[in-house]
Amino acid sequence: MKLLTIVWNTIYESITRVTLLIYLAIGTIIMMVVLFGLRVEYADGKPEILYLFGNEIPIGDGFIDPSSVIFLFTIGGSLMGMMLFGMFATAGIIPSFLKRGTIDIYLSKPISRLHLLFSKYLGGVSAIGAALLYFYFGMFLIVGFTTGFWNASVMYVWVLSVLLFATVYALASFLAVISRSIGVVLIFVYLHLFILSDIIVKYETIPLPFLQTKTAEVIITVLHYGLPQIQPMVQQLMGIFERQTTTIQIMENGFDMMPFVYSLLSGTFLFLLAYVKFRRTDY
Amino acid sequence: MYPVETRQLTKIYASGLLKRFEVRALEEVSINVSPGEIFGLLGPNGAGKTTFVRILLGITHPTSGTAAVLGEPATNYRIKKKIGFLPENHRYPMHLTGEGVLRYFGRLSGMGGSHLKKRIDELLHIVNMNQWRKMKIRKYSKGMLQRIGLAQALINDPELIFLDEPTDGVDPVGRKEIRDILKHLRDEGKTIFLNSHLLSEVEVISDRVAILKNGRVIKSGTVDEFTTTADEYEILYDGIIDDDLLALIQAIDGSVRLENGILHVAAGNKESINSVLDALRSHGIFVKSMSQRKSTLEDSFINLINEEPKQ
Repeated sequence: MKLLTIVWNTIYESITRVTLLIYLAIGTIIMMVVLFGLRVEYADGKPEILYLFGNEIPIGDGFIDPSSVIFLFTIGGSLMGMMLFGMFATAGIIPSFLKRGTIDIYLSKPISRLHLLFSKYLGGVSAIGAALLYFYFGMFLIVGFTTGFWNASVMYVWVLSVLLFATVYALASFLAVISRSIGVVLIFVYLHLFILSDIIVKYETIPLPFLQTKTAEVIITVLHYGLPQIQPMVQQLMGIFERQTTTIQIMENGFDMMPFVYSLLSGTFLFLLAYVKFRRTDY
Repeated sequence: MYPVETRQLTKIYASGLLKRFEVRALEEVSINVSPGEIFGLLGPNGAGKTTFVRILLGITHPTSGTAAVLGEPATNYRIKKKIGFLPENHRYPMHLTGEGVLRYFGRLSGMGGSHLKKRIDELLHIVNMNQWRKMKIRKYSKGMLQRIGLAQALINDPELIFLDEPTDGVDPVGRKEIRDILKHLRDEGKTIFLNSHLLSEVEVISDRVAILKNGRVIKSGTVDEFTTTADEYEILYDGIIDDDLLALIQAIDGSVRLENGILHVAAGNKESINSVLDALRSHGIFVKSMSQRKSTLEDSFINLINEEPKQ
């Protein structure tokens, strides 16, 4: 009951922030573009040609599900943008909760520190989860009604996208408890999202001598398993739609759950570290 | 059982890059607060008052010593169901209305349903905020926020209430109202722990006070013990006391002095006081009143703070 009260209040607080409203507005614009830009031509009662603002998307040999093409470009294409906006909208939740004058009131209530931190974390994840649900489910309905292809895998992608955000938000929570600064949270999370996660995956191909040393290899392995595996998770999410777009086997391997499992473990570990710090800190 | 009981409570903060420097915020503080009393904790800035309250609420951890509230260790979060707290410079979620703040923190205190709704209505009337209950608190003035903060601290009908500068930013009428609320709560048997810089206010409503300086209790006792009567009478008069008359009455009693139009006479020799009065009257001075001077809590506080050498 208390946990849900904090979660709901955190979602409500996030919704009142401009950044999340911008995210919802961008999602709405994309949905409107698809709604008004998508045109389907039918032959014998079956969709034959799809047009997106006049550009033809063939539905013939080779293409088994045109809805996947749309999802790949809209949902897949906005994944990292979602991370960026989502983090921007929620990065302040824990640092502001830890500010003097606020944390005092929360800690004077009959709630354990674990419940307090977890409910704030869950509130941030739920706020982004709800915003994603609005966009993903909206796309599912619009594409379904427009093309006749009801591609339910978009909801599976929603679950995994929320999981992806939850692991990154665990890192953000850890940084927030350590630093109590929105700036530090954003800098380090963005550093990981857009630079470090790429380096971790591709370091063997980067022609920098210091990256090819044994020490660098150990450090990168620790970071690989200690931090959320952003790039591998994004690749797997995109792969879900990519595999559906064609009968031609372009994806050699099937869906790999392991990046999500490792990220879930590292996210749990980071959250527990955040809790240990939160429990021991004097406010 | 004391609602608040500390034994040798010590808090040392480590500071600096390598945590090599120590700041001793509290040093072996032992305080007991009895049930149903208003206890005022006084001290200059940085004396350790806020740290003391934070330890009692489990917000800060003590370095050594023990702290118990309502018979339970201060670290037991479940006991906070019976505790209310108004921190200094409180910050409530700005997207909520006044009523929303009370509902939110009421739920976090384990309340709900019609009981909570009734309590919110009751408290909004008590703190005189009913007409602004639907307004977002970001539009509230400092005084309004303070009133909502007080209502928040009382939402769970607590047995023990900690108030840190409860009248901060409140106008004189509001301050009087808050004092009346606190007196009413004491009459209901609640225990109130008050941190305030406004010594005159603490003097009016507290039963007992303690003065902290550099983390140590330098004196504690009832308010009467702090506001002892001085051995001096103050004489208010109508008329002019010139140098000749003053020299005359000083010849009768050497302790007589004139300050700001008030005649001060030491209370030791009652015979000479009568003679001084007679001398005044015989020179056409009308004696309006004579009273024994009482030192205020502020006088005692300043004397104690100045007397105690710095650590």
